[in-house]
Amino acid sequence: MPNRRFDWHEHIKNVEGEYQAARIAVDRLKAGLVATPDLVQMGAEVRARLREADRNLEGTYLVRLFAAFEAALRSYDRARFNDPTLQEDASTLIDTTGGRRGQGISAAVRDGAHAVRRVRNYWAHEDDAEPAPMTITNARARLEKYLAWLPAEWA
Amino acid sequence: MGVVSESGNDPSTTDQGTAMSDKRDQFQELVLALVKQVREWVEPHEWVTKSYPKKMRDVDQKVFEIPALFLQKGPTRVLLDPVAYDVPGAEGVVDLYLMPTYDDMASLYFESGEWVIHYVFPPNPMETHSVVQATALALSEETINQILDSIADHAEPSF
Repeated sequence: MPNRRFDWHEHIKNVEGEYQAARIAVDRLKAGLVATPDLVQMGAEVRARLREADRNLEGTYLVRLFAAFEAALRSYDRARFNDPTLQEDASTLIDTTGGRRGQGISAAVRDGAHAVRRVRNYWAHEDDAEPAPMTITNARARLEKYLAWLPAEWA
Repeated sequence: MGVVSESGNDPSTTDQGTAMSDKRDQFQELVLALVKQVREWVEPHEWVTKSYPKKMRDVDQKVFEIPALFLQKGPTRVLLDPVAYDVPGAEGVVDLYLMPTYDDMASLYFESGEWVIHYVFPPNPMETHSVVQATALALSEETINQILDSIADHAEPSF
């Protein structure tokens, strides 16, 4: 696991970039199939899956985005307590992680990360309560802002 | 399919690998020069800069280091971040993000031997047209400072 905050920031940004590339690809394929129905030889089920993939694309990448963020917090938490086996859940990590020089992370920033966590829970079927819509861009901004409170490096 | 040499390596694959590592080395040199140049251009305009080694993976999954550049003026923080070198139509891409949220602000492409910066200037409230278009400008001391100052004046983090 990387121990430089900057590497985690970059990892999260890269996931957003992959989403944008996948979004363009799916949109192009959809448009191509409208113009040329036999563009790709595939059965009705695969077409139906394409519709689902399109509908779920942002949620799928949001789960990855949050997984990267959670891994960053876990890496920091394990280093902080010098225990490589620590396995706190995401909600606890968000609430208990301290900021630089021991100061707490602001409530607004913590709430921002929790909002992304709730959306992740919905998409990962951990929670049936439908959260307010959230774009990948907004989720990335919330998680990056939280991470910015961590030290530049940890042991 | 390429011919397999006695060593078991496919020469065409090896050639591709060499070409890609050449591109990687070229990208590193381009970004090193870009970071040095941008520092020289913006520091006299009250931007404080700090270079940071970014780890990237090349096509062979080998990690290499390349400089990223943090820039700060007052409360505005921006990151000049190398993104990729294996890009159709350009020999390298470097993005400019608003920090700490990593919001996309501008992109720099190395095309035909020069860096070109793409940026959407905020609409002038005195003008009535509503079409917002990215402007592509050759990178210079004037254009980088114009864009950084526009970011400092107008950009707000998305969260």
